[in-house]
Amino acid sequence: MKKGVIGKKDFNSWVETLKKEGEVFGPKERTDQCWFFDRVNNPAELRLDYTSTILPPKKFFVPPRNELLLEFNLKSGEGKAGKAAPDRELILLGIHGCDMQGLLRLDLCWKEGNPDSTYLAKRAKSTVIGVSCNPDEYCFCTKVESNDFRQGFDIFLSDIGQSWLAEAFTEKGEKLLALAKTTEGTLLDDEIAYKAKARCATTKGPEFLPKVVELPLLCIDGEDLPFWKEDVGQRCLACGTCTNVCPTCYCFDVEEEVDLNLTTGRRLRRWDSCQLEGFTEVAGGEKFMRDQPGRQKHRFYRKFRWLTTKYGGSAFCVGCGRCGRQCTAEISIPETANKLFLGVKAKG
Amino acid sequence: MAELAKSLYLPKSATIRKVIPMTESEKFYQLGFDDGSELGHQPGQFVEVSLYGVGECPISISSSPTAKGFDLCVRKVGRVTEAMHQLKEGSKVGIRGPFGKGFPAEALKGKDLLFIGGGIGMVPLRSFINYSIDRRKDYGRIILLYGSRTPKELFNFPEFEDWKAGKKDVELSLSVDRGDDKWKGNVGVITTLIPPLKLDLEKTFAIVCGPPIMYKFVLLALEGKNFKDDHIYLSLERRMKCGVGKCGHCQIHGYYCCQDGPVFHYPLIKNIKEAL
Repeated sequence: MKKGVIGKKDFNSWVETLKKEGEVFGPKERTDQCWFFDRVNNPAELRLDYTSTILPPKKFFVPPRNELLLEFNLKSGEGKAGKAAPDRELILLGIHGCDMQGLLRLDLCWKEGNPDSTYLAKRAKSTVIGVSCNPDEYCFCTKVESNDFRQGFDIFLSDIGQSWLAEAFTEKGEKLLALAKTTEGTLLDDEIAYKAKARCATTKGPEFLPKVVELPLLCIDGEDLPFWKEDVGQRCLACGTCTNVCPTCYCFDVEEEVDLNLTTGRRLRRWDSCQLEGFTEVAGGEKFMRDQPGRQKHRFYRKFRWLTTKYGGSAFCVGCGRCGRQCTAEISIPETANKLFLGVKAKG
Repeated sequence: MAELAKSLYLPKSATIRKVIPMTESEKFYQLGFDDGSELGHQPGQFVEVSLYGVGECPISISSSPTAKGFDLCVRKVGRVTEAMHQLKEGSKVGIRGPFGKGFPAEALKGKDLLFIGGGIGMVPLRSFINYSIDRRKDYGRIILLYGSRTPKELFNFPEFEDWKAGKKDVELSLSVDRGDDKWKGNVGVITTLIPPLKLDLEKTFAIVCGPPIMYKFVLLALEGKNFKDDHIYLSLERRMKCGVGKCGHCQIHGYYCCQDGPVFHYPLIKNIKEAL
């Protein structure tokens, strides 16, 4: 690992050099306290002190819509796979630990069984530079054990006041860090950096009663608890926002687009949501997830039971808090987890 | 990340060699790949049929892997299948697959096979029935209970007359929910065919495929016959959009129907409420 301290006054010129190495994207502020990941044209637009963006970084690897899977020609009847990898390296600058964990969960799912080259090619051509977080009352990454400042990152930046402490964990990261004007850090810098990293733990987030390790078991024991139907299932408006903003949700639909020449066209991928009524509907009209309580439970169980047990124990919720922040009905993962926990305990 | 696989979503070109109308809403297609390769499927698996400009949908493979080419039987029920019904012999379609887990043809060697098919559920069963006929020595009795709503909706597969005549050693019982003037056979739901069966329960395995509503009643009837749970296999219908375990539409709890099914061993899904 290589380490260096980048003075904040030198930071923007480093970002300018990064732009020569690839396409740089990072957090910007749209309106007051509303952040989003976007192309960095001018480093001064970067808001590395952000809390959370509306959409997680999954949008760079699985775009919300119009992702090219195939191109076809109706006259010749031929189809060919769309080009998966971008020409230039994608440099994501300013990713929080929870979102990195989200990407690592997605890597597992897209690689498993039948590897999805459309996703993996983009991931292979990406560099992720992390940044210490500025959490709010919705964040709960520590509760779901997703506060990692190293795993998956090429570089991690910690705010140490007048400077950033940069740690490079990969060859790619070391190469990029070498482009910055750095000074050597001290042990004191490490401790100040650690404080910045640990803000996830020291900021008061929502109460989260169960331990991650017991959640799959609570899911099994709590399948028939009345709150699924009477509470969250009743309140949910079935809008699908929670799955759109989730860093680990990746269900998709595929649609066909034919050009006006009626000859060329393409097959495109777009996000879908298990919260929408027609999600499981087959051509005969049967819907296999019949009601909203079932769909709410499906989403929660995917995060804490099925994918968790399949992939060896990590929760598939990374505690970013986005679904709770955005939900019109104010349903949140910690609230649901607590109701499940208390319900199962009360059953004895 | 290591070497990347080629696209999961690119279909292979196949030509429709023959179209046989089956009923008002179903047509039977014989197809073959343009590069001369065989599908190499297991009975009970499915393919994604692709019509460029229209879309893609999952269709059960109806032929035995022992035959050349492959057969699909398609009900006109959605956008892709309606477009498919317009296609003639010589038309090209795209095929991805085969996908999923089929019937356990190896594990059931030496066993008596009780096939229970309702409506279009007969289509994937035909694959395994023809397979077991072609490997007749490998299997015991071949019993088929086949039901449809009306006599007109019974499929007239090319070999069906032989089965009816008892030529292929298939013990066939038919039933329709509502008969017509010409119908002289059983009238009633398919479960009425189960109680009279004389079976060696130690040796018999039930292989069930039909519309979602049918499973509950067939399972009750099998239970009434003292059938063991682990002697039952079911082929389930779901929205298997991608076929490769990614898109999420066919998920039954932790299972992806397109990868872990569509054929399930009953004990695996017995306690999942949404499964059946």
